[in-house]
Amino acid sequence: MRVLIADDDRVMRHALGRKLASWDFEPVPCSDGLEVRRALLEAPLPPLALIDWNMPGVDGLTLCREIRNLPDGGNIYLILITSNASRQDVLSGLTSGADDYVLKPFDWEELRARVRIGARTATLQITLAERVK
Amino acid sequence: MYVRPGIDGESAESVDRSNREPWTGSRGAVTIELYFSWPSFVESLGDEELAAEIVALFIVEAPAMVDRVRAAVFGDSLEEIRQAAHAFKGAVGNLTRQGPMETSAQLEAMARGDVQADAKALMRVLDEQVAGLLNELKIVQTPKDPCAF
Repeated sequence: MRVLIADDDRVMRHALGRKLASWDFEPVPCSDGLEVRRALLEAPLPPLALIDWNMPGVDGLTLCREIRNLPDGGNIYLILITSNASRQDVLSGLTSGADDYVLKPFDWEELRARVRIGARTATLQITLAERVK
Repeated sequence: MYVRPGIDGESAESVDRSNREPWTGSRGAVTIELYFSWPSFVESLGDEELAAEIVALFIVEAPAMVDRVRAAVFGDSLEEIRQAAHAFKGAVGNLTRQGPMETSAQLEAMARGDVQADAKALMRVLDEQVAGLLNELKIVQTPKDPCAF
């Protein structure tokens, strides 16, 4: 399963890419919001995306809203990744369209579990959407 | 790991006196982990090779990130301080939750107006902490080219 990674931090992008590959996912790394926009136009939407909140140009909250407005954008499982930990931040993140919210620094085993839940949910969502068509 | 001689337990001076010969620098050496523990880091990632890659990449990336924080602090732009400190907090948090991560969090909180603090004083602390962390990391770093990944 393809997983979009959007993070301007090169170290984090590399770590996420390597861990996702080791969990049998296919990472699609993007270094900022503009690159995410291009990636979404050039290829079929990935079923799962890990999106950093704070990025230059287009931030993660804006991306979540934009993805939700795309045709089939409702089927993508969006995980917002951030070190913004306040209650208000969590609420803002989840109301922007994200399905889940994971805090940095990661507990990698917890992230793995959340990514698996996301993959399972996205697979069900896509299967249902195809049946309805 | 950061190795500093003569701290904790027997000091370099006492080793020197008890042996009645000049201290050579190797006696009384103790291992000091200021902010970073390689075994804990490897355990948290579950992958020693990836751990080495992250260390190598951070050593390359960190100076520019800290430069951005410093420029923001001395430029007196609160929004830029918030963004730069937040970005560095996220990056350094991969390696340690102490020292530089705490100080960048303080800078971010100060820029948001959550706490009152002297940004320039915090920046001096952050510079020292980052220098200490980079010293630790360079000791554990394996000779890998960070451009290769």
